[in-house]
Amino acid sequence: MYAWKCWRETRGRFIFLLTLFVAIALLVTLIPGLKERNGWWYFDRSEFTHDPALMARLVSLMVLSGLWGSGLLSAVFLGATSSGSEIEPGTIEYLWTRPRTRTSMTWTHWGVCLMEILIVAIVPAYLAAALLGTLTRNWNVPLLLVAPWMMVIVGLPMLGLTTLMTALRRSASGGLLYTAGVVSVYVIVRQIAIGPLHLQLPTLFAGPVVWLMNNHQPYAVAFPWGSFWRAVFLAAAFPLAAQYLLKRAEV
Amino acid sequence: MSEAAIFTEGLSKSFGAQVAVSELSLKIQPGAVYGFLGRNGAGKTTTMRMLLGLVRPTKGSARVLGLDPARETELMRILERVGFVPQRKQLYGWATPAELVRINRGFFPRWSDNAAARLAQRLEIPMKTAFKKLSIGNQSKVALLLALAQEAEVLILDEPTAGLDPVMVDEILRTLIEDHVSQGRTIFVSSHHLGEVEQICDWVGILEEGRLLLESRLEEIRQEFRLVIASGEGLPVAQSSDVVSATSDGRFRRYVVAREAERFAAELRNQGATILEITPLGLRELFLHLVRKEDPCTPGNAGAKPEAVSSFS
Amino acid sequence: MLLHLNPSSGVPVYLQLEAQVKQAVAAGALRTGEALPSTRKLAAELRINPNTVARAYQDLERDGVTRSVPGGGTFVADGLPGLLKSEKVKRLRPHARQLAVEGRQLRLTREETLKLLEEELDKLGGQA
Repeated sequence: MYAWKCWRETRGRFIFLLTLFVAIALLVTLIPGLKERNGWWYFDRSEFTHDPALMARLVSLMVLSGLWGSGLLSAVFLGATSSGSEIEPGTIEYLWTRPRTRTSMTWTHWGVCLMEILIVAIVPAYLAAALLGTLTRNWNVPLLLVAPWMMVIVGLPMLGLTTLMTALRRSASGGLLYTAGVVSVYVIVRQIAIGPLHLQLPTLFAGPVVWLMNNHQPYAVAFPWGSFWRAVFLAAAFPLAAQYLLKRAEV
Repeated sequence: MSEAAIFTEGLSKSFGAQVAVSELSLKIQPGAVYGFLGRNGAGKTTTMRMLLGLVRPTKGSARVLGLDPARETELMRILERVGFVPQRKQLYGWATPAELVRINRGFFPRWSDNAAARLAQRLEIPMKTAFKKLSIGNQSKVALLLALAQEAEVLILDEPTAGLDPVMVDEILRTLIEDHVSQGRTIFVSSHHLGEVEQICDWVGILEEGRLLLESRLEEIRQEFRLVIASGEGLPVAQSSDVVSATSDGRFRRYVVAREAERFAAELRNQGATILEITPLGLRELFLHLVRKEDPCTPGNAGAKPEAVSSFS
Repeated sequence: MLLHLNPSSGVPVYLQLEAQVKQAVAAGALRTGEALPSTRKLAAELRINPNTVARAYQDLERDGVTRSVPGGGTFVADGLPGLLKSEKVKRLRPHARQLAVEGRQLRLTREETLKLLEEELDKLGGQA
């Protein structure tokens, strides 16, 4: 079935991304305890226990800085396998002559990617939280527990964008290229607006993650709802545009 | 009277200025084995793709099993009941044939695991090798396997035996007849293997530059169609409803007559012609007579370019 | 099955089938009451359309060479006992005419043509 096919096809990337980010998360968690004496490396747990609350927050931030891109990265690489990418290689002649609507296939693919993005966001952060909690014996690590959800919110528009670009360019490489292009243009325009033009622009949809990273105390700064809703809107609008394009496509 | 399995009326498709299919009107009865013939680029593949919703017609209409492929809900019902082998038999490179079968069977409630296993064995398909590592011949066979094990009412096959060795072609013909034609299923097949088409088909349609030149039962072609070769002056080189093709070669005229060849020959004799031959035509001969353009290098023929000829002198 | 086809001979497939069945029956290779393969099976073996086989079988039945049974199946018929001798002669005459005409066109002598016929009869063997 199509969902199984999406899974099998993205399995390799998914496992790679998951392994990568779990490794980063766990390593970064352990780093403060790594010390060197007389040429030998050893692990000193006391680093974690003499000020547990501080260590918890510090390490959380370090882990997050290593993981912040996971939502975006997985979204992009997984999104490039959407059904639009099958047009140029030719497998679309098989796919679109199965008795399933193109719309259902677009969204099934999106759903499978969503699951994978969630896992890649949650598992490393929660494993780090568990490890950190064990080491500091302080289980108050709200940053790490909330972070994955923020990353998913920010990753979904990127998933949608890549899906749309792939549908437009009708190939995975074309889709990735166009996505990179769109992001670059956006970043450049934004820099020009903020810099020389001195315009105060909030982030388009990355607000939730930025809020997380800049928060010295949880919930001290107001949550950027504007950015959040823009993220939700784009997360839906991009795939809907892709759905429309693909429904009308002739191959 | 049951409705046609495949029916088109004035079906046309243009890609910009390029006309791919023009005013195509086909009627394929249920249970028929219809050979769709034409040169490369004649429009066969585009026609088949219109029947399956991959491409939308510019004009005219098509119906498969009475349903309209241009409407999504009806198209879904068509796709449940039609097996398709595309011209470009491209499947997922990372998957093995066994995995492709697994992906495919979930779409079709009538899928037969037995048929799939039997066919995989007959066609000698390496089921555990990744698709991208298979030879082109094996890749084609996998595409065929997926369509044939579906137990579909209608099979639309675009050059299913292209690139396959004679033994495999033979196996496929046998499977088609034993498991599909005998069950009364409809087969709409395009192929360049005219010999095989002549063996298994009961209808034939010849497409050239997007237009249907001829549609006939094979029986009729064998019994009624004749090649009449005549020599003489001032003989007609015009087509009529009975004269499907008329070509000239110096003093000689070759006519492909669809019926009453003897009467036509008699008329020619009345005009003072000498009839050299009246013979039945095989499918290949008929096809070549209908679609072949006269030699472009002979001066005076349509399409001859004087420059091309003189460049060799 | 001992039937085979020559697709490039120019002779329609169903006629080839009929001729071969008749030949087999005449030579005794197919005996009275013996079953012919089903339309489907024979078509699959020969890689031809079942309608072609069906047509040949129909013609064979019409000619009295075979008979079909209500439950299904085609069997070699008894050597047409129901037909009068005059009927049989009437059926064979066109073939004889053809042999005579072609023999004459090819400038064979009467003896040569007759010799040809005798040789073929000898090949069939069986009843005198």
